[in-house]
Amino acid sequence: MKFDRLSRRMFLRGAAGASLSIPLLESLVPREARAQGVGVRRFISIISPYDMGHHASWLPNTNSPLTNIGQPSRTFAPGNGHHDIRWQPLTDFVPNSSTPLSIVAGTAFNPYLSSMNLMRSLNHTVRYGHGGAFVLGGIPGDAGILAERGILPTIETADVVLNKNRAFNPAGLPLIFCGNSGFGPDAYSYSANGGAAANNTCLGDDLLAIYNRLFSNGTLPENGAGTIRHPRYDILTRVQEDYTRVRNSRRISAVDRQTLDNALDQFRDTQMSLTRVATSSCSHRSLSRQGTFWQAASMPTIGAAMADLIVASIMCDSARVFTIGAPQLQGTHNGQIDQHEEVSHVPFSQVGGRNSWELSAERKNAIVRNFVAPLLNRLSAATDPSNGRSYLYNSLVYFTAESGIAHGYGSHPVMLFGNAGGSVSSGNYIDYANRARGAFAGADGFTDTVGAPDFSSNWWGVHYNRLLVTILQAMGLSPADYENHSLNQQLYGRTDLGAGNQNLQNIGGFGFALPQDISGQMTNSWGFNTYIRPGLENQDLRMFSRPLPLPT
Amino acid sequence: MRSLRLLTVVLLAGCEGQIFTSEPLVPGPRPIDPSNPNPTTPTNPTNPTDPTQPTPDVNPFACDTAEAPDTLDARRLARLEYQNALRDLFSRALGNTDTTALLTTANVETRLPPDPPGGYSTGDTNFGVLHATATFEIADAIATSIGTAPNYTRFVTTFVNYAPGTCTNLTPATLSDACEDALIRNFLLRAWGRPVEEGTANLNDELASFRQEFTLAASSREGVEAMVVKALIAPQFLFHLQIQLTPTATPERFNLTSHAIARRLSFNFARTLPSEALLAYAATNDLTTDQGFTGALQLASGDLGGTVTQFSREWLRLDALPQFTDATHPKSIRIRQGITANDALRNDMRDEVLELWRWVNDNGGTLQDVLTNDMSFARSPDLMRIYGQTMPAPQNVTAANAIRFASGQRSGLLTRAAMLTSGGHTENPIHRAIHIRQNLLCLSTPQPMNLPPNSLAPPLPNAALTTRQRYHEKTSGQPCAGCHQFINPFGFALSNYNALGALQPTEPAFDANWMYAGELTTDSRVDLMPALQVARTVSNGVELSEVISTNPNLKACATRNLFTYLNGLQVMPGAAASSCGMNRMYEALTAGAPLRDVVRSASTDPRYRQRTLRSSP
Repeated sequence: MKFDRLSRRMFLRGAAGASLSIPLLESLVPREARAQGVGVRRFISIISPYDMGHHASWLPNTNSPLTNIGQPSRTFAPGNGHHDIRWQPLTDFVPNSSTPLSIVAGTAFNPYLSSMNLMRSLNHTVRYGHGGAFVLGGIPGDAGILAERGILPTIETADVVLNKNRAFNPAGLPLIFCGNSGFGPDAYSYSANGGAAANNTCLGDDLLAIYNRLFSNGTLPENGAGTIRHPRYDILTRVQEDYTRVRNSRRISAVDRQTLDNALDQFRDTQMSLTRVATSSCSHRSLSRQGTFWQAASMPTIGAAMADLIVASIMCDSARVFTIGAPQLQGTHNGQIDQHEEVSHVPFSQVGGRNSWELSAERKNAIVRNFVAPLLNRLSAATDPSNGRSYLYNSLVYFTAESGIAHGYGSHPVMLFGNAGGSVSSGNYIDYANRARGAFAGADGFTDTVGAPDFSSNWWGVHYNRLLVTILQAMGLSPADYENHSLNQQLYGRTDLGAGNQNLQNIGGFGFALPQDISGQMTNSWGFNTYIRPGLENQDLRMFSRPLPLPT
Repeated sequence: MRSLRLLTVVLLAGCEGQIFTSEPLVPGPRPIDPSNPNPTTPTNPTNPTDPTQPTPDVNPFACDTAEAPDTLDARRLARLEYQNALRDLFSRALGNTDTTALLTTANVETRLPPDPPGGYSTGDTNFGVLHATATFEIADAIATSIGTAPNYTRFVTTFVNYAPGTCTNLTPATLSDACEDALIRNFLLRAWGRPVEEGTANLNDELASFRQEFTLAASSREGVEAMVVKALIAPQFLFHLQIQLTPTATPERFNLTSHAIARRLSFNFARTLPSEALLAYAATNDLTTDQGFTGALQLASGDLGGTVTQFSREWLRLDALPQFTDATHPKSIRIRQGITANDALRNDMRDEVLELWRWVNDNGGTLQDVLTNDMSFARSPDLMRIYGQTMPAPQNVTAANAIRFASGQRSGLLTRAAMLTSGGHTENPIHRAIHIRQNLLCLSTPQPMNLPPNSLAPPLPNAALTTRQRYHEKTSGQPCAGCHQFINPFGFALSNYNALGALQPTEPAFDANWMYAGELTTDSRVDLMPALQVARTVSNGVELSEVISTNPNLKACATRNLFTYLNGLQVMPGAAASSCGMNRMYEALTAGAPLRDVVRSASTDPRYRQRTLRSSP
């Protein structure tokens, strides 16, 4: 790709309608930051494949009873009908820098505990398997994997909703979806245009391909060297006119039109990316882009290179939303075979005298050490000129696994870093359990085992999608930007779905509160009572639209 | 390793709560059956209506003469189709060598997003911003290259001269209006496979749109470059978009034009744009008639080797063979015997199977031949060692010069290394069985639920038990046996092949600490009654292949998969779908028709030349 380079002087005149007296620094920070004087926010989600394993591997005090969080002095009441929340500062669990926070975290996150929130008891309303699409609020298209899982349409995921929001992303910067894509129709990221969403195409693992996408094949100017516009920018305008003309022609089907409308949108986004404004802190050409991201679990240099690319992209303001499928430590690990069923389905299998879930956690820890922590390190070390705070402070970095415990309802793991420019408090271990509702056992037949550890310390908590509401609102979106009243119509006006869900009319929130079409189902059937009712009735859907309460 | 998930999700699984049915490979919605929410006894996997009878060899695909034509809704060109189309379009002007250089310079291979896993590449309708950006960048790079000497003159001259019309005194540097029009018409005819629309009859004056590029450009060269960019990212190029139609007497039913039919045939059977011969034929013949169509079919499907191999590659997931691991494991060391188990060997295994399919197709063979052919196509030293060959296969294998496997030791698809390798130190009979059941026979494989702890872990080593015996022991108790009785026989019949696919009359046994403990005789004899409802005991994979090669489930499954692939369907039709095209395919298989005739058969239905067009959802 080649670009015509406009002089910086031309840009300043054109963009600001002002004179050369515009201060240098101000002109070189992202556009709306100049206008609003606030930090620019970014969202990075990092999704580890395979399930959570065992909650003990993600949470502090793996050698102590997991119920010890939430002494009376560490409980707060959100009010307005919400149950009390237990919490504790993360530093309470890490008396010194050599104490691991958990198996998954190890000691790698210890320098960032003040920027971190560790959450538990965020639950789903259906049992599911291989539900990578749930992480960002979509529904897997692959409804056939488990019979009990949804036949509702896939919907746009939170990363896409965020990236499409022009208040958040006024320049239409591309969403960066890379690494492990998820699993086929259960991909992590979905886009929609009209009808059901389709999974986004993943950039893949190749660092060079990711670099090329982030930095316009290396042509993005560095160090505030001006604005670039592709010489064939205008052709794309006329191509879009052609698409419109074809979709309006006489003999074309409704599905054809929908397909062309989607393509039109994609070319519009492509065209927007052909104009780039360089920031003063933009530097990328010296970065390493050799190797593939899947190597990161075993090669720290690859993880660091990936972290460099992401942070450089942020400093160049070439992307604001990153959806990253994390690799997993490949190959046999202490006797545990690198296959999904070995890593995910059998937490209590003994491999070399150890629990399978511990080995699975060690696999996740490898990516924490080699990629997530280096990413946090770079984000915290660099200052965002938009408001003089660190990029970590202005961003949210979300690290999780594809699903909760053994593909069950329970306790989707959440490690959230950053403050979204001050919108989110941090530094705490927060348990959203509503213990009045009691504990639940494992799922998919992983029943409690005599002796520890088991799943016995899992409690019904709050709906997982409230985390997505939290993130979207922290990024500056309002409910009108993401709520879709029609998605949850099947739950409205009913009296048979739990005490907290009587005669609901509009629950708002993000996505499906129940990602399963129950319109034709007998609510007294075995399937309903086994797979749906427990997850649904232990939610208070009146709270579905609310962000998660956070300690202040 | 996530690519293995579909195959391995049922590893050693119990199956409580599931029903055996034939089901699509591309999963579709599968709601709970309210009438039978928790069945504990699987039904006959091959004939759910009667658990005591085998599947009858009756064409399961009805053909209703009133059946509506397919909707042929717009879908993106698959990655392979897009690459082929670019190559064939520009090689007309630049020749093969320079076109290869052109596409390499444009980074076509690396820029294009990969095909997603699951389903067939032809059925991926997803068009995201990466596709838009990649196709724009490729078009931009190609156009820039076309605008440089000597490509520019060759390009303009070639395409104008196909049909210069009123373009006389062609001067590439300064094209006259007539020459611009000739260039636009001739280039788009080949890029889009049909004449450009002119005028406003269809509210889409394409010629005028492209003339505009020359009007806006500062030079003819810039105009040509703009034309190329615009043509290559137009919906008419990037999508299978059937909008060249003529109405019939039946509402919502339209005839495709001759060019539209030719384009459909060409992409169906060659995965690329129509050839010059096919374009010329479409221009002078009415392809909506049987006679006209037959001629076009012959032109479009002259060489189906590429189509057959690509289909088999995707059907059998040959690009997702297990990666080799455990190189230092004691058992790996013992069975590999110095064989370098790496990606090159995986590719050799894959290519050997692809060559088998191509050879059978090119030599008029049948699907049954694929399952029973005893020729080796191995040429690499490592694969030859696995097969026990001392000589590589000839470069051009013929029936006369072929290296053949010893009788009874190996023959047909199922006994090839690609179908047998586990990647690890030990063969996995369950994976092998699932591959056969699910992919070749389209027999459903239930999902594991309510598993006891450790259910999915491989059986522990045992010095006294063969691999088969260890897996049998692991799966013979309830609830596992309820389903594994239908699964295991397919894998156990292949017990005399090790994890690399080498013949193993005996297998090395290991104690609980993976210390070598001597050899055990393998046993690959199985009764196929529970798995296939066939009263037959087979001794090994060769005999299993013979049985499967004539099994109705194979024919039905091949039909559904081939039809899905050829027509770019997102979801595979059901096991008893009503489809005249599939009806014809099954009939062809039953009649023992050559593979190439099976591939062609669905298109011979007259509805192939039509489209159902619904203007509202």
